[in-house]
Amino acid sequence: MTDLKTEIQEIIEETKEVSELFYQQKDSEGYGKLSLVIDKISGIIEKLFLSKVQSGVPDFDQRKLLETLGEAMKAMADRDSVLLGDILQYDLLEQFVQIHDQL
Amino acid sequence: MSFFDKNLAALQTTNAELAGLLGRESQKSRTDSIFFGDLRFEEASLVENATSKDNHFVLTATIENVVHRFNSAYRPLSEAETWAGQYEWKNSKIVASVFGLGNGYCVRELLKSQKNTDTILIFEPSQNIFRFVMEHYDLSDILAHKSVHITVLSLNLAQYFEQLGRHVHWSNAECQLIGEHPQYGKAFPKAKELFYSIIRKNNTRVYTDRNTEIYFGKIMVDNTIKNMKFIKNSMSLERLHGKLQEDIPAIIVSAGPSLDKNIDKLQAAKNKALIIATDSAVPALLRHSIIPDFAVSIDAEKSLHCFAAPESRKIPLLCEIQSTHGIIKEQTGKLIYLHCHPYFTRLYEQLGEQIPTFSVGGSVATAAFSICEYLDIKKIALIGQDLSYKDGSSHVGGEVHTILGEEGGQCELEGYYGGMVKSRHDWQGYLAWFEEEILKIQNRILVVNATEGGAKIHGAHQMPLQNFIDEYCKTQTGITELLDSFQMNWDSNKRELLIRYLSTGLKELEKLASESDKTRILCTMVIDEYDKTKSISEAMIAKRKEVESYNKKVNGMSVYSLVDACIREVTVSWLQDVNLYKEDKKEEFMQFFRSAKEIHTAICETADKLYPLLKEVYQWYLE
Repeated sequence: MTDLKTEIQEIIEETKEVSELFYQQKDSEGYGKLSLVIDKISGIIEKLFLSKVQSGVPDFDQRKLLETLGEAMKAMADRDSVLLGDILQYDLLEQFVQIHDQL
Repeated sequence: MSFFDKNLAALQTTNAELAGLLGRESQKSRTDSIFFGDLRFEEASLVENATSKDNHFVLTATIENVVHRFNSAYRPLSEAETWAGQYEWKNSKIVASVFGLGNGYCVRELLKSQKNTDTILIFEPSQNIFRFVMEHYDLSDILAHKSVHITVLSLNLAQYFEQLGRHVHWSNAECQLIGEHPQYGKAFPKAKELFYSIIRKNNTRVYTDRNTEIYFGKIMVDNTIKNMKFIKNSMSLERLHGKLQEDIPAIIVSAGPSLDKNIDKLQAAKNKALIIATDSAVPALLRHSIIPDFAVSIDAEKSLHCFAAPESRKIPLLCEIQSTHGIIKEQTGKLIYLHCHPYFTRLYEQLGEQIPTFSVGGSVATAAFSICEYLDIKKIALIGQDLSYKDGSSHVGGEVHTILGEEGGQCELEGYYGGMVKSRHDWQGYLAWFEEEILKIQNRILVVNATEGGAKIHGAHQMPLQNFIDEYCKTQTGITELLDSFQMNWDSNKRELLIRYLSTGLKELEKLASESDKTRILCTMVIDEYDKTKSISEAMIAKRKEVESYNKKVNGMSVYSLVDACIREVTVSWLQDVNLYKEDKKEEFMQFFRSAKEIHTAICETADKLYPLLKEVYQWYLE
């Protein structure tokens, strides 16, 4: 659980960095770091589902998380880096912070 | 009071020209493209406000059928703060160029960090966006800010060039910040390209000017002092300003290889257009029995063959006091100065005369063009302005003149008739100058490239010289009579003032030689003390104030501009990072003394060298 919490904390920090890069119009750097964060997020989601099934913790809305990730992907496809920054900073991070606080 | 009125009143205090244009240009605001000759830039067709999740305005605009959002849809103020936070303001005299004003949120964040010595130049590509935000947002704090200047592409583009030219110098070029408002780069790609191009070219100009000053500094000063003997038989170009007949055209004759093609047609334009020849073009014109109305010569080291023929020396000469001495001293016709060397600025102020201030652009042809602009000439034709080779030759008559670094500076440019033509780096630079200048003035001056060959100059209309002459050269210029009406010789009062001025210059040189030597010694003592103690004492701080105070006095001396030009190589090497922030404050403190020591050593040596030269001129006037 501690490892999961640490991983979530890293994702939170790195997501903040990525959204800051997008707000600063540093899109190349942003997308570069984003691909690494996405890999981590993909990995952590499986662990979160497993943990929830096994122990009921953390309690989070899977559908909402996946929807948020879907919106982020759409913003990426539209190359709307500011919207992507917004989704990461305000929608995705909010959910990960809630998850982190439960662990 | 509406937002627009409040904003306009604020803008009036800092940029009356733009404020005036906003009123006059309202009919043009509904186009969806901006055209400058054959160049097209994007314009927003529908500008609106949306609302963010935290209830602030979000600016949106449709550009080429795509809707762009220029603020965060969630928290635009927080986004603006993060965007502005990437820029560091530690250096001094920062010039921040920003692509896009948007609704002002981002610029307002920048203003929180900028210092009084910093400048923010905003380049707004869309007139429609600018009008919209003027109507829907209170921007008065930004518009009235003394450190902020706004350019709107289709309204006051020329001002952006002027502002960059005014604020960016080689000593603070490294301190520039360049930013793009969120999403503006994607929405306005062509305008963005122009924005960066202007900055790049300005930087090139700044460093080229610096290198020119270093390379030619001493010879320019040598020419200036020697040419002082002829100042009493000269006049300033300012005396011609506003005196020319309205609507007379000008033909600038350069010495490119295509001049062979149409030089003879100039006879038909004689007395019906001002024929202004670059120095290199004078021999070719005389061979074809064409006497230009003016010749222009600005180089400090020009070959004398341009004026070898006695009749060439009778042509009224537009030049600078630092132009080639060998040419100035042989001149028998009118001598008309474009500018004066900074040494003479105070003299002319005392004489009550105004000296024009404009950029000559780096070549004699660009200088001729600037002269035409200054004289309010509304139709300018360029001939012989190839800016390229033709069948291996660089100049008229099949001549080949090479320059330093020619081999390595070869390039290709778009041709007058299409395709590509072979060129070189200096011509490429002059081409960029012409194209930018035409962009600035295209609303008020018709520029025709009648070279009928060479490189294409974007923005200039292409037309055979004969057509230009038939269409525009119809009335007598009266230029000869006008020039004859000017008194050239200085009266005794002016001569007396000049003699006193030269006398003051000599005293200043004596003072510089002795006081700078003392300052050099003082700096050496401080450096030696620091090398031993590695600490900065109160005494050292006091000595720094002493040196700063002396530096201020030196800068205020009339003769210092002559000395400064001679020691430019020394000053550049020390001063080019003077505005950069340094972490190590001790090192920064000692850097001051090291640079002062070297500079004052150079000042002593130069003052000693210039003294006998200036004395010779002074005594010549006394006799």
